[in-house]
Amino acid sequence: MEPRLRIASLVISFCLLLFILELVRRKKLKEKYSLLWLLMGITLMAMVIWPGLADLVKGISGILSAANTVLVASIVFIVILCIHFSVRISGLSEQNKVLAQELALLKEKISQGRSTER
Amino acid sequence: MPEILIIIPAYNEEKNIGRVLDRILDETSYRDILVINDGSTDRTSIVAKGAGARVLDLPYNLGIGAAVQAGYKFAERYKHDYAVRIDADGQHEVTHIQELLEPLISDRADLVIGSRVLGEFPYQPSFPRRMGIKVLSTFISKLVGKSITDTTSGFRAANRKVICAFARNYPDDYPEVESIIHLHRMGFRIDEVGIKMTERIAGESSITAARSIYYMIKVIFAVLIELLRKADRS
Repeated sequence: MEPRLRIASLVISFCLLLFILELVRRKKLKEKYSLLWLLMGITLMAMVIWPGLADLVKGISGILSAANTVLVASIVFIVILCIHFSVRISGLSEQNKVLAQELALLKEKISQGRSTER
Repeated sequence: MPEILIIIPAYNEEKNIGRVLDRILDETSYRDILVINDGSTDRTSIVAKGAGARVLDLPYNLGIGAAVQAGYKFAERYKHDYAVRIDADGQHEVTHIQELLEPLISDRADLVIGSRVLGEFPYQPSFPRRMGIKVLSTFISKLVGKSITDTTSGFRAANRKVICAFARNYPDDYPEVESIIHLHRMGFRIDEVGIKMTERIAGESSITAARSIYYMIKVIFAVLIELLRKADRS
């Protein structure tokens, strides 16, 4: 891979790692959700630092250049992350629904209590 | 007279919770018992209420950290002086509750952990678990600068200050271990008391050998991240 590209990729993936770690440190991002991002950053950095790794992937997948390999790897990670988000959102929606229902049931219970007191 | 709350987080423990509650009622004088029903799909809640405990029915499963924190929030809101947390599976001997509270009442510590390592136990956890406990506790002891022998024990007693700290902020993922680090950084005093553990009354432990190791790795990672955070002294 062209040296400028390697350096740029390295810098960007390193910055990504730092950013993610900082978000976790500040409690803006929960540890468990940061793991995939960290894996992405580390894998991309590894691919740039050790061309052997990118070549291996190139060999298996038939991708034309090391630069393309890094790009494809990034896309794969992003797809995985997006699926992860969809799954999480589904879970949150379900929890949200349950909370809303519980709330309505509670409100009804409380209002019943009030009217029987009079 | 200090107000003492017994917090029992429970997930699908209908077979055990009744006996645990009976033991507390028969063998101790503590009557303020709060069972946190963490979205159980069995009759845990009904059994607990039937045995005379107060029950918090969480609308869905939140995990042990959030469930226990709900208990601490209850203790904070209703002004309890001490909160003792025990497990719903019957492995914690209720006769130890008194011993756990003693250092709090004499104000020698803010959190007391019941250590399976310090106590003579007729029941030893399995070898992988014991190794996991040992590795983790050595790691945590180094960080905290004090010997903690059993960092994953759920048998703990907290005083009012710790109750309020936990009500505000309690880790979701590896609460037993992470909470030790949190408390230490806030300047609280942690002490341990030896306890005996008994076999689970019924049901299966959800912890296998592979899970113990995986758990250990994840905890260490979480703790390392925690260390990067600024200390929050209050």
